Amino acid sequence: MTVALDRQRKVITGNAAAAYAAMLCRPDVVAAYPITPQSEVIEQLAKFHADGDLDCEYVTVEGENSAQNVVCAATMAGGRAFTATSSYGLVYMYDAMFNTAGYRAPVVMINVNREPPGIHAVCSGQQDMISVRDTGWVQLIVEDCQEILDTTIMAFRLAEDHDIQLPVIVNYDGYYLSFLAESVEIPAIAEVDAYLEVLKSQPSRPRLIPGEPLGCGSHGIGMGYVELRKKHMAAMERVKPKLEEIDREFVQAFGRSYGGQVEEYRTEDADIVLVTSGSAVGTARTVVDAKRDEGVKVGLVKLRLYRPFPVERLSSALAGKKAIGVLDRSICFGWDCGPLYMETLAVTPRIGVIPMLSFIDGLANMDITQEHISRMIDDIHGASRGLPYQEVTWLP
Amino acid sequence: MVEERGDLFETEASWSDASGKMLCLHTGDWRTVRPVFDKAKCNACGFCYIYCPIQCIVDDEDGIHYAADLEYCKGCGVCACECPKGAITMAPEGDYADDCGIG
Repeated sequence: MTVALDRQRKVITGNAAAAYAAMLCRPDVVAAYPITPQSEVIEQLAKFHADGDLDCEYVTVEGENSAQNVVCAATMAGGRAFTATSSYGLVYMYDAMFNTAGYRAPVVMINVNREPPGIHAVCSGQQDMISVRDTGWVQLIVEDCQEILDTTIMAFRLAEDHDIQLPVIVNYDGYYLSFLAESVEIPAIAEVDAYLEVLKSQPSRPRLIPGEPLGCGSHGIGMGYVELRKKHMAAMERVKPKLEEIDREFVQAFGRSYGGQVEEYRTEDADIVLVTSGSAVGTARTVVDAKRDEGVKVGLVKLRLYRPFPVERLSSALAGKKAIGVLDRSICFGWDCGPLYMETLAVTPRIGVIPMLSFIDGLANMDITQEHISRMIDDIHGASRGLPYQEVTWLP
Repeated sequence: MVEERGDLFETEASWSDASGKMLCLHTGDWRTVRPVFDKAKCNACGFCYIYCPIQCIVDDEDGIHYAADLEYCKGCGVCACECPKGAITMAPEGDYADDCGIG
């Protein structure tokens, strides 16, 4: 053993935080292929494994498609499995992701957000996670290094819960968070064991055992298919209350809370709200404070849960507001706006028709600056007072 | 009036082991042709048993020859193709309309 497994505070990168979290959850199998900006996650896990700090099967696969199939099979055999990828790697495992979700295999995966293929960009951007929206995975997106570590631990708790049985992706912005070193509290491994202990008392899932004839994924024709789709949808819906419950358990165990599906910041008395996700939230929080000092009653909603979409929590946060803006770090082809904006539009029947503005910023490592967010809030504020506004704005 | 139907699967995913507890799918109802065995030509070599891709060739009641388990036989015809004695022919399922072969 080379790392202390007691509670400690260290300055580590977002990638290291993800690796620490995975190690602390004692996965039986890790299979992953390196890709910028994720590589450090699996390098760190390989080091934990080589040093004897992580007792698992570490499968050095030849690509991400194999990685996904290995971790899927590992969970079907009853194990706990972890993988990590980004961008090209994520889309290279696209078909296998459908299998994992369809088999209801509770894999936990890190996706370090990076622009996908087409225009070669070794740069941050959330288009990769948007592109796997309909694979049937639960998707979370986080803001800082501590939240990466904490949410990855929560992801195992969520994925393997008997009420859920779904694979979970924890997304975080590449570059901005993957290589950002911050002070992170790393829990003791015994604390993580205790947090995940509840899973052991739940009913067991079927699992593949050598020599016993048992299959999964091959039979689902006709009504069987419909039945399993309906069950999958129902499990997705159960994720929303379960995540809130898991967040409450996490506060008790570790003293930190993230608000479950969404975090509301100064929304209660706000007239206008900016909705966003990921690393831009910290910047947005700073600008919201500055605008509040100027007398603008603005609030912020941080989306943590992307799939299932937190429609109820979002509607309640946005109800009664005079105008809303949504900041996307990706684009929605065919809707000429940002994808989170497009989904936020869908809450209109619940909150009524008000001005809604889409902001597209931060593509390919273009910084989402305080000045940009200040301009967005000015635009939303103007729209709330009846001034003409542009529905979709690309920044810079 | 929509008929209430029970779940096919007791599990969350499509686990199957043909035990009845987990999914047991009678693939025989996919069949359009069925193997018919001519015992006069058959020398019980067992090629049909070996080649059947879903292992649904079973011992015949006489303890010597072979038969197909029609609950599972999909009618692929591999057995008829591989039989060195030409003892298996594939007959249209319509000839057996009164006996669909599913228990």
